Amino acid sequence: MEKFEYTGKKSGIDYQSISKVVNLMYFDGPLLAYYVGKKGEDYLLYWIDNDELFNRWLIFFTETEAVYKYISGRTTLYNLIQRYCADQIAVVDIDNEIAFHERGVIQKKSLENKYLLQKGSYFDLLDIDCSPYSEDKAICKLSTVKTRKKVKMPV
Amino acid sequence: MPKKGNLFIFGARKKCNMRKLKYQSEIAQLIAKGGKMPDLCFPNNNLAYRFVFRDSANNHLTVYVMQPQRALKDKAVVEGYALSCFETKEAADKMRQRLALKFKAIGDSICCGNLDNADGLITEPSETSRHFELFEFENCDLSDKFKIIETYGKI
Repeated sequence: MEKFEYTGKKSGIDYQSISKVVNLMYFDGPLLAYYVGKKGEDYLLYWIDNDELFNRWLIFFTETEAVYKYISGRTTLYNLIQRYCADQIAVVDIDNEIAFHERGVIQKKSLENKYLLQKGSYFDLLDIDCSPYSEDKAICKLSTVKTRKKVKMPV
Repeated sequence: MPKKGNLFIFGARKKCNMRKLKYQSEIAQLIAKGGKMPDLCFPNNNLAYRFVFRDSANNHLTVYVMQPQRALKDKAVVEGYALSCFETKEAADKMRQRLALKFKAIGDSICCGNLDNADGLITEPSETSRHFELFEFENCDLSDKFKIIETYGKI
């Protein structure tokens, strides 16, 4: 898998306590998902690569309203990441036992365009149509999610 | 695709003298934990299309069998022991366009084959994506009968 230039810092994400809100893209497994932490943090988990042992994910710090904007078609995934996600991104390898292994933190500017989809990538219900989870297909319920307090990004 | 009148209910397997599914014991464990089997029917010799990797000897593995499995903190579902298929090539092409840049996750080629009633049982295709799941019978081997018809290559 491609090597990143890490900042040397840790993300501070408590991987044991994050929980799924909804998958935003799914085919034979999740490809993009919205998770929250126990203190109200909002995360986007974005699949980018794999090898024989791990699936590699980028974990973005984001905001509830931004995710809702994406789901409701008011912003693209590209803009969601560029405008509404923190500069620091955790790079995490998940093994076959679904254990999270944080490899490091990168800065958004170091991401290559190949990971960020086309600029016109609006959410489409087709993205989660193959999901076997009823909660993913009931995605419109996210409109009732109350605003969470913004969490200070890791220094 | 087959009519709904041919639906099978998993729990009635003994009465129907139905063939054993390839991942029968694993599926039974999930059902014992509260999982639900979708309504299934015979494929009745219809064509099916699947994403595969042209250079792989491990195509046609289910989500929970392939390694490393691409999963997050979702609850396990029986569909994890089924194979994703599409009714038409157009439907598969459309999904592939939506999943641009994820080819390393889903496959770089599309294959086609005829599913007969000895291969397994299928779910009703989605009206949106024309995607359906194939629950294989224990002796089913799609690598013998599914052939690559187009290679997408890298986007």
